[in-house]
Amino acid sequence: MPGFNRKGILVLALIAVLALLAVPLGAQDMEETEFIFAHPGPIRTLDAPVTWFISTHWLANLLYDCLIWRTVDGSGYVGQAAESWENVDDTTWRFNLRPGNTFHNGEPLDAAAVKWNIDRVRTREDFMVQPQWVDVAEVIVVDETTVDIVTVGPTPYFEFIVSFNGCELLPPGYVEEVGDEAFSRAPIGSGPYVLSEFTESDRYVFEAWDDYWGGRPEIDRVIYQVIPEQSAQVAALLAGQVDMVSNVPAVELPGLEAAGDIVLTKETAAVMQHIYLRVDTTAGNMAETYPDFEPATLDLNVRQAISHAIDRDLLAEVHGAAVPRLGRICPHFPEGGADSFNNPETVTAHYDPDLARSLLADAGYADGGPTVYFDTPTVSRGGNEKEVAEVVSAMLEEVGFDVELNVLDPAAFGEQINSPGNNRDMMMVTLGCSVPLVPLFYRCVWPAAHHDVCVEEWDEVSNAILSEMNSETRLELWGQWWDYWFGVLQNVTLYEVQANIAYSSEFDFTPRKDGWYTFRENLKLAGDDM
Amino acid sequence: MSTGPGQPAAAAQSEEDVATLVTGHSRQPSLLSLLRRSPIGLIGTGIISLVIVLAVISPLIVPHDPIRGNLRTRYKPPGFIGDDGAFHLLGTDQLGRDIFSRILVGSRVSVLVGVVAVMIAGTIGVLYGLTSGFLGGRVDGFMMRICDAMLSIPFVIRVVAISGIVGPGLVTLILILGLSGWVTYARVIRGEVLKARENDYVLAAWSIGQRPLWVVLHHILPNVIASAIVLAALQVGITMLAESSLSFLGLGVKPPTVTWGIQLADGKSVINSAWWMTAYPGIAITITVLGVVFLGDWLRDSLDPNVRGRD
Amino acid sequence: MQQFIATRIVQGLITLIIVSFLAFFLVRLKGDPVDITAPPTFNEDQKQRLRELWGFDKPLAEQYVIFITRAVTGDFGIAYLSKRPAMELVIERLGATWLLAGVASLIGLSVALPLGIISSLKRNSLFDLGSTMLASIGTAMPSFWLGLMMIIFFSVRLRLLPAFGARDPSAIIMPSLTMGVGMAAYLSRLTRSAMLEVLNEDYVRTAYSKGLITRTVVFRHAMKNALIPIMTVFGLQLGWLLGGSVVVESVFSWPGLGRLMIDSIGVRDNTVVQAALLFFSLSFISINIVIDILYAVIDPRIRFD
Repeated sequence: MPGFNRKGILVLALIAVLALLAVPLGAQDMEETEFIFAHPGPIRTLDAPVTWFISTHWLANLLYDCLIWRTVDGSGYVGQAAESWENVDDTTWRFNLRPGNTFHNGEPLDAAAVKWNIDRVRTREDFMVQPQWVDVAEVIVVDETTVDIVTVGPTPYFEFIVSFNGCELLPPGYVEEVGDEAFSRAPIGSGPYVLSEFTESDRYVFEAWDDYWGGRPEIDRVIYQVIPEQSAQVAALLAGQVDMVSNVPAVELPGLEAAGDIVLTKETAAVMQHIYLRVDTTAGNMAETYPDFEPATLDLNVRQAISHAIDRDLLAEVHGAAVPRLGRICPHFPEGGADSFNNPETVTAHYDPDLARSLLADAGYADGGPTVYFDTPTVSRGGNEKEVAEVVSAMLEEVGFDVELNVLDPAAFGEQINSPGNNRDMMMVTLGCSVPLVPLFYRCVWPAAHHDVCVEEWDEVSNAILSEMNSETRLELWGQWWDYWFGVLQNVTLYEVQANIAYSSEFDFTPRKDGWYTFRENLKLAGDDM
Repeated sequence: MSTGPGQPAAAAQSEEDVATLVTGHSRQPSLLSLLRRSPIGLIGTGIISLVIVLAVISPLIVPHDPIRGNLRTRYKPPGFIGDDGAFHLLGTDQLGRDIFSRILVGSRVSVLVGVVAVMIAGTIGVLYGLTSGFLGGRVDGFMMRICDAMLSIPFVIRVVAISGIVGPGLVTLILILGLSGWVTYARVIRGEVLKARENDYVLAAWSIGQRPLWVVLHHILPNVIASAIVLAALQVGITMLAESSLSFLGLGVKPPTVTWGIQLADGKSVINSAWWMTAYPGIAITITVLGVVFLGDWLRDSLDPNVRGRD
Repeated sequence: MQQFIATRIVQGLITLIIVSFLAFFLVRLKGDPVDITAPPTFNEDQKQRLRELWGFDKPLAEQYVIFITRAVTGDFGIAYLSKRPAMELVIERLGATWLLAGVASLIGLSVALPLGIISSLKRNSLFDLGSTMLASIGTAMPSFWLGLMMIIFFSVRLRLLPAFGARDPSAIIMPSLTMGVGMAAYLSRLTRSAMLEVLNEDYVRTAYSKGLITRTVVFRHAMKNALIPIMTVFGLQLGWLLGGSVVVESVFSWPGLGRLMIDSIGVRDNTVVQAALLFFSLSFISINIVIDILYAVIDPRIRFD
């Protein structure tokens, strides 16, 4: 039989090829330290101000310096291109730049360069981060190393804005010389690392820059490798081929722990999982798409029943790495006053199915019901929205609700529910939990099809917070703000999302409180002093 | 892009359909006797009957509630016994639901989707390929260019586009899978027809003035159907897998409906640890496919004019 | 034959235009890229300006004309979120995609043909039964599962192969095997069936039993005739593989077209989707032309008129 022999040869050949190609891995030059981070992807352009995708800005902030940046522990700000800064008056912020600082290509990073950058990002309408800069009225070059940024009105959280997405400083001469497109192919910044090679949305290699003002970084090479599948990320870590995985499913932790050379830690992802409840029928397309539909959640009793029917402790357990919460501000921010609503006892006591049942009875549903529609993406920034939504549904049905759960792929969810505002009663949503952004959502001018809440007094309080320069007065305003939050109950908070981080014990790592995987001073070789 | 080898889909007429279609008159006795003599046919029939019976009676025999789990016993390995004495033969999933129960109940929609979608695709594809190959010339050229156009639009884009027109649900799911896979059959059958219509017996049939439809049904189809049956049998498994990805694009069935595909998708991100979440639904699909393939082999043999009656 | 090829190429171009038309409207059927990509901080005015910038404010017909006139010069526009030409992003990934498709289909063929042929020659033997079972497992096994199991075995346990990427020469082994298995399963069954069909034709059996022809002749004759369905399906599968496989590329982090396509569809980046679609069409159209020619080469009785 000719086939047999041929097949035998083939198998042998295949084995030979396998053996030949199996070059031993990990034979890195021992002198150089290399750190590989498993990024879930996708990664967008590193012309940083163009995009608002946070997971792209993780990389951008290796390549670029901003004027100032958030500290690792989230408690304040630290100078990058700016050595120091001060609030000259209610609307003027003065930044003193590091003298003699340059971009990677030698171009001076001076006041004119800063002005060029901020003017670029606040005027380019195709830049996704542009709206963040609308509060800036003018950028003034005082002298070579001094620049004033003047805001339209008093902006207490300006440091947050000036250190947020789009803060990255680009070399003006180079950008103007080569144009946006060529810049996207070979971006240059002034950060501690130089981008040495990349394949779009696949692999980005950063090499330490000798001339960084803070000195050459300790890790010689940082690589962001896109690995889309969670299981493959964990396997790559176990195989010793990547050094860090940022979002490990809780069930995988024992296996990683048993591997021995892997450090496990847990840190906030700086986002919270919530459920938006319909408080009106005017926002979005809901009324057009479902003309005869009247959301049961228009009744405050129903909304309260939902909130009390949810066992957040159990949900957090299902999530795997979450901390149950009631108020939508993460406690590590120094302001906001949500601590009293977020301590474990208060959250646990909030779960009261009997109260939920009696609230439903008050709303006229003593004999069961109402039917509520609940939309959720399969997965979003929270990690496992689908499972959590299934459990929430079960909890609501326990107290008498009929839940119609609608699970959609994230893109379809965005397209069918989120963007057009076709959410009916309930919608799963993951939101950032930083103080300076939260009040934005509760102003009447906030444009959001899926989420509309306009209570005039609340709007006033939110606006007041955003323009009150006195921090004590601001805290009082926050006190009032929370009364509306719980009084209106447009948003039921479930928990603060945390990430299980696993990394090679060759490294010492301090996770950032903003949930960003940017590796600067928070990453060292193990054994060094941190 | 493909969702796997070959696009999801395809065909399998019930045996009676094909028999009647091919022969024009009943050959039931010979089919049955063939079945009796073919161990493969018997095993195939046995597996498929078992799957169907289990699917039908599954709600009556599930040991646990397949939809509500015990959240305190999540991700438990096979053979786990809870504090309350609950025994989980194949372990539990991310919501503490019994995997064995979910596989039993999941068989209903999975098998239905797999078989019906394959039948739709196969029927369309075979008819299309027959027409195109038989008519030949410009008609063939035109019909094949339509196939090229169909192939050129990746599955994902078709799915996204269809999702804009129709709402999700079981029928949509079956239609998408069914209407996606016919091109494979069409091209294979058409190629076979091109060859078959030059055969002596076909030319002979022509020369004695038999009507075209008669020639196609009696002389061409029996000679080309074998490939379609083989393809269809394999497509059942591929369709069941494709259902898994569709459910997550928001076009499949919704929770609390259980399918094997949804179970696979649920376990995908935790394969390193909770391997049982994907392994067992995978085995269920494999066994079903094996049954269908055996059945297809037997059916193929009993329809092949050259093989029939031998062995 | 030359006439036939020329006609087919012209037909191919027409198909390409039809596909461009279909693709253009299909991707615009649902979903507004601006809605999907704009941050929540964008208000309606800002979104509208972005739509104007990306050209969505014009009537669809006009958009199509603009698209097609630019496309013939190879300009598919600047990708919305990567800010690089869409075609450049696609071309960047062609090499890896085609390499993987090529190796995978070689594996598929070299496993499927011997397996299918031996099965057909030793029908109903243990070997046949075994290869039937292997093929069933091959198609029923989810490729993400097979892929991850291989990673766990070869990368985690044996520390032999890279778990991701396409940089190391050995990196192609696991993804191509994963892809090849499905193809092999499929093709081996088809080979077996097609071979059986020919082997059992009366004149072949008679000639063989009377010792008029040798086994080798049977084999050659059968193989040639069995090739038609095998080639057809092989061509289709190769076509799909050339478009990239989302699942295999995701599991092995292979920088191929499939992932680019999924990422782009996720944000409705029509520029990249359309550029990638061009290569989809081209691969199917050219593969099908080649297969039609091969039909006639294998069986000269087949005419295309």
